[in-house]
Amino acid sequence: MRHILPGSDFWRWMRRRRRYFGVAAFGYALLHTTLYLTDMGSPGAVPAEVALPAIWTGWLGFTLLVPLALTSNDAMLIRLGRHWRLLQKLTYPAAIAILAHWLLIHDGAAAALVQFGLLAALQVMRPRNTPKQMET
Amino acid sequence: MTGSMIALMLLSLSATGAHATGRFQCEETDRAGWLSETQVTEKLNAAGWQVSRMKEDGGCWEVYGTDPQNRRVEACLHPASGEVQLVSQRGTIVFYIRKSNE
Repeated sequence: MRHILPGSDFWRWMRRRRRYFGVAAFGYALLHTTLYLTDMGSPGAVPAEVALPAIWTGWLGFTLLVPLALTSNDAMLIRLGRHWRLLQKLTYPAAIAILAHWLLIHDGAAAALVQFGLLAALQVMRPRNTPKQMET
Repeated sequence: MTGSMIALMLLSLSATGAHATGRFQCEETDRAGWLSETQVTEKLNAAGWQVSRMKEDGGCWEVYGTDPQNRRVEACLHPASGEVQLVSQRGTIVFYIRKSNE
């Protein structure tokens, strides 16, 4: 972001709050999963379709976000130290699982690909030599 | 940098254009001969389905509901005959009627 918007304070604003964005993403996923479970009605209906590609990818994405949400507080950040950063890398497989979930479940792939296209573009443009400073 | 980003965005858009709409097209039918939503619902209920909502898509009635096997599905129905053409469960096709001319 810093490279796209040089001199802008916006990226810095976002960067400082990225843990909040992560927690918000989990909050959204939790709400989404809750609505799905409510919509399914009977408890037996959920395991009955868990093997479908569009469904297990969703569960995988959600499951990968759980440890991130549980360790998102300051106490866990300090306790885990450098392992906390390593744990944050779970966001990448989670993003891939969520993209797969989105593409498989929907007829139209446009919305999913526009959003993930932007993420992929940012990833491609990311400088390789990011200093390894301890930032949250 | 910005240029390559825009290019990537356009690429991701163009790649999806082909299948942006529904996956199934029903044959051309006269709108006057279509079954009503109520008729479609009654027909499906009689066959053991439960209908939660429906809309028009690709010249078909696209029905969201539960099939007789109690699976949460989307079904494309021929708008005039009410015959089920395609059933998909969470994006996985579980039934597809193949036309004789295909």
